[in-house]
Amino acid sequence: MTQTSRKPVVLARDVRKSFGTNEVLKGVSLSVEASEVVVILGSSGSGKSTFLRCLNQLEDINGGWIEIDGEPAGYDYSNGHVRRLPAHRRVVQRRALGMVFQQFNLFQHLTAIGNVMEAPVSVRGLSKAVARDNGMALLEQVGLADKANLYPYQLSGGQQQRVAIARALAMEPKVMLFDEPTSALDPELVGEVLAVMKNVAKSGTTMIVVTHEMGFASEVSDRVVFMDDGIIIQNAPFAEIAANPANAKVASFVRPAKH
Amino acid sequence: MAQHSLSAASGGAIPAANFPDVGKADRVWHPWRWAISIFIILLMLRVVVLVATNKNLQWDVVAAHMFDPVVLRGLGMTLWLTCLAMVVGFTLGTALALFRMSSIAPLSYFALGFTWLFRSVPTLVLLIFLYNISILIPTVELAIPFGPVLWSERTNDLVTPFVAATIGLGFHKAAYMSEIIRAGLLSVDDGQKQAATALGMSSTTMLRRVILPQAMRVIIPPTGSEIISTLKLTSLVSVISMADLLYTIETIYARTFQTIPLLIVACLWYLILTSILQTGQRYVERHFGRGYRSAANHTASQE
Repeated sequence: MTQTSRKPVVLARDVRKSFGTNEVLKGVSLSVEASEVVVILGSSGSGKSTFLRCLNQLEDINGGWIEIDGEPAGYDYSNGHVRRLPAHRRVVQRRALGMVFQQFNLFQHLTAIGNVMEAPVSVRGLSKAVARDNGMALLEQVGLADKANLYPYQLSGGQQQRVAIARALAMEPKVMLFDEPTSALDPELVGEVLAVMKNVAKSGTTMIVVTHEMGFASEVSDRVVFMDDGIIIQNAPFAEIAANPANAKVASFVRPAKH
Repeated sequence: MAQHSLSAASGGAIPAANFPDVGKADRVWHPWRWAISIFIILLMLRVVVLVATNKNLQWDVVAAHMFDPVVLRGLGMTLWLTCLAMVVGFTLGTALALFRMSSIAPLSYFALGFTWLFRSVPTLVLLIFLYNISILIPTVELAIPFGPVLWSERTNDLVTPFVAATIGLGFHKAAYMSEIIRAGLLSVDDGQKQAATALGMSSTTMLRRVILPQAMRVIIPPTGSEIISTLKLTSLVSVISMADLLYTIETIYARTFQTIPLLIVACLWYLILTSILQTGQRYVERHFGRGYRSAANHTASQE
């Protein structure tokens, strides 16, 4: 899939992150190209969610360098000096990345369509009418047009997560980040969310997905990145990792899916 | 399994064929409930009769003064002061709550100090103090530090009783409101902030569109009781000769000596206003409660 001529949409080099004395990321380097779907695997505490949060600057990194679509994230480099960007510049940079959370985090005081319309109106400055039309099209896409006027508490977990995906897509991000999108769902609701994610992947959206769903990793992803203890220990297409796992830990993740 | 155990249970006191049904249980007689209810009702009736028949209350005088233009003007002043105190209280309180949560340490300590000071000083003392502030600061000047004076005014002309009342009540309310608003802001789940941040919202947009609307649900009920307490707190301004409801009533009974009926007039007006405010609060609560499961909208919300 990868061609050297294509420019990476996400470029992370030697990213380091600590919480106090606990070093969570010990130098993570990753490059993701346009339309690529990358799944990040790893046990809990391996730093995979933190890495996602660093990509869209929900966490500040302590070292390394991140570029999103060719633009340095959070910092500026000129004349040999690295400078922190002011808050208003970082706010704008975040719009290039859509994020889907484990706990959905839908705005509780807004209906489904209200959630999808909010940022296009208050951040991008679209008119309400345009944002509503776009929003309804997105809800249609995730199969929830008939639930547009319901509040989050009136929706099931799977439906909430599909609205959350529509909300992130509404900002037309260059990359979609999914942070364990199905981990908080009842088993029977996982399928509907994965189906929506599959459609998003098919539409050519660049995606980075932290998940434990081996089915999604094997069927949909172009590449799997396995993280352990703050570093990437394997980075290859799923079939390749399944055939030649780097160590026993990787094997324990990918083997059960291979019946 | 269930059938088996049921037939086994028929070995008990009652044969399985004629198990009774608790739905047909006899009603239970509660003598104490009846006794207490009757006692309370009799007591209330006695109070009503006492109030209705006590000549000293002079209901005719109450009726005559209830809509007296002078009383109504005092009532207007009471309402106006309540409004101003709450506007100052809510605006300044929001600012103080945000300062308090700011990462800029001096700003945070300033808010803490302000709240500490104006919650500690009794409102009555604060009002008298502000009323006499000109003794402490005779003139107010706007000047370039160590440079020329641009503007100057005598404090007595600047801090009229009305201004003193507004500042005194407003600052007092701000100190209380800041804690209520801070509790509201803290009640909003961190995930909401993360989602807003990830969508590229600036912190002001996030506050305005995501945090405050959700915090209001927590802020409204205590704010309602703050408004009601402010309404009654305004009666303190009578000591700095502001013509509010109580001061007006006092000036009338000082002349006519109809102390009790006139105090009843004041009490009735406070009762009426409080009732209106309480009803209003219910509607505001319903507005900000949308999007939350509650007894009120539970049945309507089922898919």
